[in-house]
Amino acid sequence: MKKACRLGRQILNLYLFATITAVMLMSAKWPAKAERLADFVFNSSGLKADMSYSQYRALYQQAAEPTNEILAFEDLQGVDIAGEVGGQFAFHVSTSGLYCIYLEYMPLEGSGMSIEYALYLDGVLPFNEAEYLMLMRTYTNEKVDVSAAEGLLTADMARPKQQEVFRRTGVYLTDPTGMNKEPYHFYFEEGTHTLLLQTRMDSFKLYALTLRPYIQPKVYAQVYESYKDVAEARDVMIQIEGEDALYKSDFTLAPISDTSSSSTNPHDPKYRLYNAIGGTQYASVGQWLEWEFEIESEGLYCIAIKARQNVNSGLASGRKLLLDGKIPFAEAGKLSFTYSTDWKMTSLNSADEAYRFYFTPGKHTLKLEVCIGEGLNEILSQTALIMNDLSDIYRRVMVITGANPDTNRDYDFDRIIPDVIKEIGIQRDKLEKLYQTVRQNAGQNGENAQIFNRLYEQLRLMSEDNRRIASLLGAFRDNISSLGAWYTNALKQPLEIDYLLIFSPEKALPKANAGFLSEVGYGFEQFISTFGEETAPTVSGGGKTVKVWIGNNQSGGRDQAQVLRELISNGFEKESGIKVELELVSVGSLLPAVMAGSGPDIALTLSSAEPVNYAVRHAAMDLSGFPGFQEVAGRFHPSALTSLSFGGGVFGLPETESWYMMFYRSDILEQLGLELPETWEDVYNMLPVLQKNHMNFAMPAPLSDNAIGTGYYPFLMLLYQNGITIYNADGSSALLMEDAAVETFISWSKLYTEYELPINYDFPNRFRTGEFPIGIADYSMYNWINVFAPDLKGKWGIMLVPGTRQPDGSINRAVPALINSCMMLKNTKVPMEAWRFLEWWTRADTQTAYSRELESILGTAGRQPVANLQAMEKIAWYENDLMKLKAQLQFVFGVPEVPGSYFTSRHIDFAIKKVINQKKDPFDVLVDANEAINNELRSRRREFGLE
Amino acid sequence: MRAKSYAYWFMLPFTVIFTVFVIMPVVISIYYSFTSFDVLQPPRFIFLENYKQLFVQDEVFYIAFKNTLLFAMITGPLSYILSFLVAWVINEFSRWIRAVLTMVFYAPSLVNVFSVWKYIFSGDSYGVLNAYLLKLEMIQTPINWLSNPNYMFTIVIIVMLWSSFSTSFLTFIAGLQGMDTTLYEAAAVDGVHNRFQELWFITLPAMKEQLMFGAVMNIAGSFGIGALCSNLVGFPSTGYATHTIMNHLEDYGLIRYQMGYACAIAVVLFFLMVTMNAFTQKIISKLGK
Repeated sequence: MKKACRLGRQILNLYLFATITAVMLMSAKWPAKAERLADFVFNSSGLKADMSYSQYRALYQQAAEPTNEILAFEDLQGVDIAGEVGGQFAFHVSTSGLYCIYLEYMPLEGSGMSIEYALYLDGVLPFNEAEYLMLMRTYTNEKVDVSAAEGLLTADMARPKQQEVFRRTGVYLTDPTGMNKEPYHFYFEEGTHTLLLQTRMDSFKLYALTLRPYIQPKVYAQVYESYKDVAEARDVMIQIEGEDALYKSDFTLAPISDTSSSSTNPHDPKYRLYNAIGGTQYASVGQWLEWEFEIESEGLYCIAIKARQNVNSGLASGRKLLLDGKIPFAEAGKLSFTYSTDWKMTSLNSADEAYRFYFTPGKHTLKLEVCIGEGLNEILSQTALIMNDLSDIYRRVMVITGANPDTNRDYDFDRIIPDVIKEIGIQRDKLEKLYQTVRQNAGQNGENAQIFNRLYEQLRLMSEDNRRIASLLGAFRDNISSLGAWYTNALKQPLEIDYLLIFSPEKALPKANAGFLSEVGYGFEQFISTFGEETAPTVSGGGKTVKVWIGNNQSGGRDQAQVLRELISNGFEKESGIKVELELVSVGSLLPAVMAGSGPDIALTLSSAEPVNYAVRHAAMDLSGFPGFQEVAGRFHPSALTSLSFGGGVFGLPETESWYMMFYRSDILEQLGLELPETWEDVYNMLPVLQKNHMNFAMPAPLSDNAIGTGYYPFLMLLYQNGITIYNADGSSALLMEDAAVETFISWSKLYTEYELPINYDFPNRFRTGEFPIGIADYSMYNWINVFAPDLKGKWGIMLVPGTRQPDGSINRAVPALINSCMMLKNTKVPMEAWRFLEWWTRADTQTAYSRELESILGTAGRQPVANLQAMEKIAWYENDLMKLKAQLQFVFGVPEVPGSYFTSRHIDFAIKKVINQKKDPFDVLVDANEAINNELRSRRREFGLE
Repeated sequence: MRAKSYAYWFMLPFTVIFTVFVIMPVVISIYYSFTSFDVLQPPRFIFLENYKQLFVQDEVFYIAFKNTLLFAMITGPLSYILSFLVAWVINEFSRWIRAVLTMVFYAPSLVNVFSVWKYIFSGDSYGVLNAYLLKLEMIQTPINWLSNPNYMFTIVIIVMLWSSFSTSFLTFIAGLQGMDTTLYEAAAVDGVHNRFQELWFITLPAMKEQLMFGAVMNIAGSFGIGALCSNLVGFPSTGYATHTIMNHLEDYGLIRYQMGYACAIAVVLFFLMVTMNAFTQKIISKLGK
């Protein structure tokens, strides 16, 4: 017995020794290079608070409310706050208590999106939310010169460009999610304190920092009392068009065109008028629009807004009204616009009387800021908490049962996870209460609250009989994602504004909607006018014409064509005097058109393969000989040009370029105690832990239904990481029979046949539920997750993909470039003009403007992964994430296109499918694929006279 | 001939359109099939080179040929018979029910429903069929229905049959309604005593024209199958498992830009269809005899 014990201890010692030595050896082998993942983790100078704002407030509930103001910092010239260095300020607080922080700042040029920053007090994050603070920018309509542009009858016919205005602005530090309506309160003990500001995205100039006690706005009755001596205005009706907003917080808040009703002011059956503002883009908390107007005589006025909220049924959109920068009274800080399919005239009034607003003669501003509707913030913050807890329950059950539990088995949950069972009961009760609140809040429209009821019912069944948990798990997961969708949707507070009215109280309000007959008449007129000539504003002139086609596919479409048209009219045509004929066509018609000699001079939004495909048939123009080509080519990462080059020529230019990044859920990995993998070895090592918990690593799926060639890019990634290329130097044969290629293919198939990686899945959804807490995906997924999973904020990140360790200790993290391209056709009669267009089109300014304009129409998810490197930096990224993207970019390689290369992706795809589906031997399969590919390459080369 | 010369004037518009849009393309593609033509550069005459390659070297063409024949042989007759039987049964209902049922059966061929089937047969573990099979413990891991050659063929046939109630089906219904009911009475007097005898001796011979038309449409449809496959299982399908002549043609014409070769494929397909038509006409003329 003793002997056995000693032996055991010896084994243990030996084991410990081996582990320690291994760790030491490993760390010795890892040089402290910048490519160590740890170096990319943001070095926040402060400690985490691990306390939410509500906990923080509860902690300081008893704290005194001071009355004095403290100027913590002031500098008339302003100091730049940028990045991690940020700015640190020391100041003295004379009275302990809760203060609000008032910032005076001016945004510095950057991505054009809101500035994100973090605040540390005395070196510590006071509460978690202080890490995600926001400052808005200011934009205005660029003036449209009606006389200069032909075909414009009124200013409303042109969509004004949005121009950033740099001005000093003062704001209270508030919750950017809008859950807390009051500005953040910070507790300061008497004494000296330091305050550190760090920006996460973009930078700003700080002029002043003041600590102020919070003063609650007065209620209307009190304010009205003070107007006793002021007379009511008479016979005034000022109409301010919504689209004329002087300032706005986002470039996405450009005037929009509403042709749905004849009551929209102004309207025209034939022409497209930009006659309203807002809509679905005017929906996130903190966004604002500001109008300016002039009052002639002092007095009391009323305000009405003609607006429409036809997006979120059953929910009301909240707005905060500020006059000359201040909330006039408490009620004006919580206006609410209920759902309606038609325009509605909302007069600002209490239950019995219209509110009176006091104006002195002169210019005034009226600002409408998005805030979360009354009562909804409580519901939303609770929903967020519940969602979090439910996901946690789901994951903890899934760890035991897997995503598809055995319904016939009794898992004995009571015994294994009693705390989860208890938690289910707690959440059930919370949901029941929340369901009642939501129902009351939504009023007549109950459908909105159904998801709460469904989840409640489910939890009730689960807690009554925990054997049902297994059978309900799938539906439970679906309901959690439905709740997530509801939450994302309810956060949005969309509102479209036609016009605002400031009028004397005796005036009657006009009707918001035209009568039925008038609407029918308008519709008929619109229909008739479609037979007339299209009267898009165009610039005419004596110059040459370049014909440009934009493809109608995933990357092109009506919106893209319209945005491009405007950019061309306002930019290229004016600058060069060359006329552009832009046409939206289906991609398939390019070939027949070129064949018939009626093709364009330039084709946009093409796949990566097209330019070379046309080039080998002498149909694409070699761009490398044009003047200034070197400068243009230098705008891109070299990898973006690889697919477009052939035989020494460059036949196209990239429009977009994206590449793989690793996405991970920091919360789950932390729970599992997993580190981010540096190499594929690390991935193999983490798989058992993931899979034991019924989770998995998401590798770009080779088997997504339908899309052929999806397996090609992940294979290329692994291949290039092992140091070899897909083709030989002149592209005449594939190198699949090289030892390294065979090894790569075998280890790639093992990922599926032995390591059981998922082969067919929907990444964003599984990432959200946490089933795939880590995986590799195109970096454009970044926007998608940001927009559609706001509840995950702070719980996920991106990182460089795992790589292969090289003999010298460095790691090769090669990933393929995924690009879209444009090209010039060879039979163009205006090559120099066409080249000027391409040069203009690929400029950083043009690409940024294009991406932004698209974003203002399609929303953040429509953001372009622009290939122009300067433009890419201008588009909003967290500084930290941009750094990682750039680090990964160094490893991006271009995928060569050669005649016949469509066969390569096809056969690699067939090969991996044969291995996965039919359990064929990987080597045999690869031999066949290699032969098929090389035969095709050879016959194509013969056809094109390359051999 | 001269006496009725106005008749030719009536035929003229159709003849012109038919010539320009049907006969000419056929003739042109026969010409192109003897050339090497990459669409963007002028064709080069190579005579039988394309056909040689097609019949001697192109292994994929044989797969496509086999698949097309199999599809045509299985779904052609099956859908034809099914269409007729369903039409026959539907015809027994009262007018309104008949209209509704006709719509229900006809609708699938009108709309693009591949997304529904793709969802059902999705290889993801949340695809409808996979989810059910997993739930019922019939399978342990999700099956890649649409990319595993073992299943693809069957699935394509199922979807094809489901959406095959098209023109021929409508023609049958019209034919059945146009039946002269007095014939049945006369037949009953003559000793026909069940519905199947009625069907064989009266209905079918009387409907010969509609049956003929339906057959021609079905054959053209079955041989021209291609879009359905590529919509359902991708283009090209994994390991060419459901690659048809039509797919092969698209592959060469639209992806590889070998128009001459694609024309050769088209010509083969054309003659295949013509032969099949002659064959079916023979069979149909035997009906009721």
